[in-house]
Amino acid sequence: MLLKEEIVARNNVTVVGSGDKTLMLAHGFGCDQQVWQHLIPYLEKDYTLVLFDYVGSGKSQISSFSESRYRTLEGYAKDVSEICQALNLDQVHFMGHSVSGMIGLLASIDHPELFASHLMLCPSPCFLDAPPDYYGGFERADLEELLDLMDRNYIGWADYLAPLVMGPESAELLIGELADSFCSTDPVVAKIFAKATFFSDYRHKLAEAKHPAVILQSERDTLANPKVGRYMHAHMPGSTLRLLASEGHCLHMTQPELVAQEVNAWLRY
Amino acid sequence: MTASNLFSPDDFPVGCMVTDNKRRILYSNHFIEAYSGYSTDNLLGADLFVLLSKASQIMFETYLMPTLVREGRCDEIRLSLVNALDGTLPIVASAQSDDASECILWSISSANRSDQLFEELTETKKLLEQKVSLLRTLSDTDPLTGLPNRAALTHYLDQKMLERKRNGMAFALAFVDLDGFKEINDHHGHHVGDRVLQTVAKRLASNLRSDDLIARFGGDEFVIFLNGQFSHSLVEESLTRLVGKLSEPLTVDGVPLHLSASMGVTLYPQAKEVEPGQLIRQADQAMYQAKLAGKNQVCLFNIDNEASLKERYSELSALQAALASNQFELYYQPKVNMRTGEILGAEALIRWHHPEEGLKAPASFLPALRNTTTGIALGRWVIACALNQLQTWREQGLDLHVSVNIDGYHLQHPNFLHDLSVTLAGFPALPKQRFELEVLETSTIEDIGHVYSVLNACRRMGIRISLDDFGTGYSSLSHLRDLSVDTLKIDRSFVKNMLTSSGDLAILKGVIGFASAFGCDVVAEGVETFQHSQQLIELGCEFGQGYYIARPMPAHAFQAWAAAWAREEFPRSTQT
Repeated sequence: MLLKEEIVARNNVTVVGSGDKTLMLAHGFGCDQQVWQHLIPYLEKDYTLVLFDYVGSGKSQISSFSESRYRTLEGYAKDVSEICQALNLDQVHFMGHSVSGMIGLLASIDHPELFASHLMLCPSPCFLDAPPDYYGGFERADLEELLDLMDRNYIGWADYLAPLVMGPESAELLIGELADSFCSTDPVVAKIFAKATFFSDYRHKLAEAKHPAVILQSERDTLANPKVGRYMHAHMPGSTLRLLASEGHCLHMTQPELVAQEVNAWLRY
Repeated sequence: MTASNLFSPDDFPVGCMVTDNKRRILYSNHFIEAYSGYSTDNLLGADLFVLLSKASQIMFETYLMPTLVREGRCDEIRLSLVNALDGTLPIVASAQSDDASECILWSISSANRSDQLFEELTETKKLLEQKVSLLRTLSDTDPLTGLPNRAALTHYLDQKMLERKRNGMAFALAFVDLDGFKEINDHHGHHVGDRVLQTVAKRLASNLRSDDLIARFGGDEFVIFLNGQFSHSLVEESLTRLVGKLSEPLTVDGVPLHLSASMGVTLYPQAKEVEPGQLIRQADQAMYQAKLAGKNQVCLFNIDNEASLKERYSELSALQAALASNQFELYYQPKVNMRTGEILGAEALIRWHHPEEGLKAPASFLPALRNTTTGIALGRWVIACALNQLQTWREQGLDLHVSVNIDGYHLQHPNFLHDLSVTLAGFPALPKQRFELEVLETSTIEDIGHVYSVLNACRRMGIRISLDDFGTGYSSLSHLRDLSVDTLKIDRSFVKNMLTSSGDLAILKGVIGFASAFGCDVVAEGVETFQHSQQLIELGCEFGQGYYIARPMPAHAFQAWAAAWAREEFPRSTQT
């Protein structure tokens, strides 16, 4: 078991605001905790906000990254419950954006004692289509293209080639030396998170939900379309579906006020 | 008129586009129209996502959008544009948000060139990967047998032992050394030797499981890594079967060859933490035990053996140091004609002046020197020292034979004859027949034919040869048949019991008879009393050596003894 300080440093945990209720804000794929900066001003007066970066993202300690742990969402869910335990949190209201909605659900199934409820912002349990019952919005080829585009957008070829030349033993060392910057610059780490996010199917876990949850569904969202929201609501006991008059997948950035209203409505139930 | 009025965005060879905060396209220039195949009319008011592939939409939501909100701009993102014909085109897009109008301004250009560069880099990376993997293979593989080499084995062992700390795996490590491989190389050439090694590699591979590792350690040595938990009996049984497979008949280039292997094996984990290198040494030591025990077999390493080997090693180091600091001395025991009293010569016997334990007899330290190079070094020193003494005595007017004991291992050393002749060349005035080599009949002699030829060569040089402790070995008679020696030395055990045991007396008579039949001298060892000497003389053995005549003595005491001996009437017992 890691010490509190070790977990805080590993996941770059920050706590802001004050309030009896604890709201944990979890970023999605491709981002880090800075995505919450527009929402924080609306919430910090009323809640204790716990922010963090998943290992491999943002200013987390990338040296803690291991492919075996983080190639499935369960690894990221462990980050969440370990942070809660390290900070001695319980009754946590967990707000997860996109894939983090599912990560939070997985953490709360394993450690129900830590959580009170879920606020799922544009969540999806599966991005792939599984006709005729389920339309996640993407075909396998779309997601293969995403991985290809990630490769093409990655410019650090020297870093990419160095482990190859230096041998597998030095790969971990190199990962540790890569710069911590916005949206993890390490293509290997980013691709592992991408695969865990976009190629997984956690629909079967919805039925195991142990806490009330509100699904904040954007009216127009390619990544998590309204059908996905309806599916989740139908399969997750204790869930509430809120269809918001909004566009896009990053409501917390584009419409923070709207999201804050929904948070307040949910937490003052 | 200014230039800004002359040109519109439609004139630029780059795509320009404006979208609002609901992703709707508010403006697009000619380039976009031409590039996408959509007319401007169709594009205006349309969702930006019409132009983006699904993957690009994800890039937009997960990377581009958050970056724009945070930083106000996002540069050079590689996306895929979907054209009116549903084909995709590579583009590089840069975007900037305009806070006042809540719009996003885009510049879009073709990414064909950078894509080409990307493909080339990918190809280069692939080639590099292949090259690196080829280099790894070459550096890890023994080219002759195709087996992993020593470096690969060491790496593998390190990995496995590290793994063991995590998940408690167990294994056995065997060291294989071929028996008689050098002879094959010497007699049939290296190309045959190489073929033998390839055959051995194949035989090992085909008789082991796929998750066992076989490595060529070097020369004719192989190391086998056997995965799994083994009991002593199980590992011994499986490897004995393997030894059997290796010793099956073998023909290379029509030449039938006899091959076998000695194996040592050690088990892991052990009670004490061991290093990978130590594990290999353990198996190697056990292999050496298998060689000593007669080859073509398996020997298990055990810790007690290691302790005794360590002890032997420290004894050897002490003996090396003793040799270097001149702590050895030769004592001489006279041989006389018991009838006439004539002094024939002396046998040189080694003593060690141990700095703490005092004078030590050879039985206390020679065993540690058996089959060692230190033993050979000491043997050389004995020969040189005895020859030197012989010369000194001759210069003092004392004409004697001096004999030294020669160890079987030393005798079989390839340089023995050369060394001996070089040493003898240092004493040109010395008649060679004054020097005698005593060969212990019981000493372990592996290649009897070779030893015969060495001894015969010594005789041709003029050196006398005697067979020591005669009668105690197993092949005394055949020795006498094939080897011409000058002297037989009757073992002290027969002499000791001759007065009481009729069996020993009979053997003694027989040996004296053989000596006469083969025309050699006979010397009785262990003459301890007057009665012994008298009976030996009666039996026809006049030459004797033993406490009754004199104990071994330092060289400087010999002349005084000889003078005293000459003054006395023999046999002395009549006076005592």
